[in-house]
Amino acid sequence: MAELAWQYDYFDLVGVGGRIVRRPLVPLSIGRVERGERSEFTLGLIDSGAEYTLADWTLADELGLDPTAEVEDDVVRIAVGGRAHDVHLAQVELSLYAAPAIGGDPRSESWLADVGFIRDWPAAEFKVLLGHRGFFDQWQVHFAARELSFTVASYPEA
Amino acid sequence: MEAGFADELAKYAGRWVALDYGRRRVVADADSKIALLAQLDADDIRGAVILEVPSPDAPSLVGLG
Repeated sequence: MAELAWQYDYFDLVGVGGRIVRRPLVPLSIGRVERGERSEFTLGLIDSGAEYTLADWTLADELGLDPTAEVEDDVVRIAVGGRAHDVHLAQVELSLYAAPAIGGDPRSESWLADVGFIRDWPAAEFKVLLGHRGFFDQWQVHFAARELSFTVASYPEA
Repeated sequence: MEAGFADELAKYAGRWVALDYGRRRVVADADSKIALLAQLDADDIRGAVILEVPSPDAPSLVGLG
């Protein structure tokens, strides 16, 4: 993976009572290497407290991927948003984008990751949760909340 | 991201939007993801980030994974 450092602004949404909910969301897509297919651009939440990288089952459906049909159906039980879920892990290609714009050709980096897919995804604004396995083991992240930005960078070459 | 953009996005609460992420603006919206993707395809719009805008009444999630 080429050395890089991409800075993002926090993504603000209006929450309960009109207060701003500030989230570290990054643009990404999920792909199936063996079929050369990739999802639409979606948003992923960088969650330093999450062990796994998780995604909405509907993204798997859109790619024609059945996480239960993996050669080794790897299932872990994880509480997400206060509810326990059976999470089915599947290896997919994640692609991170610098700042996609309409009509542009955004810079991107891709890697293979075991992603856990869950039904009844609890969040609207993001469909992927980026945790330690599958994201933080690929990228260094520096949060600068006071400056309303964060940076995703590659690890130094060994 | 500018607070003004959050206010703009809030107008689309409960809807699916196509976002020009780099320029921070909404380029299309629909009441379902399927309808939005069909609209983008018809208008030949490529490179949009697809986003479901939450209701302002939706609780902020913590402890996700």
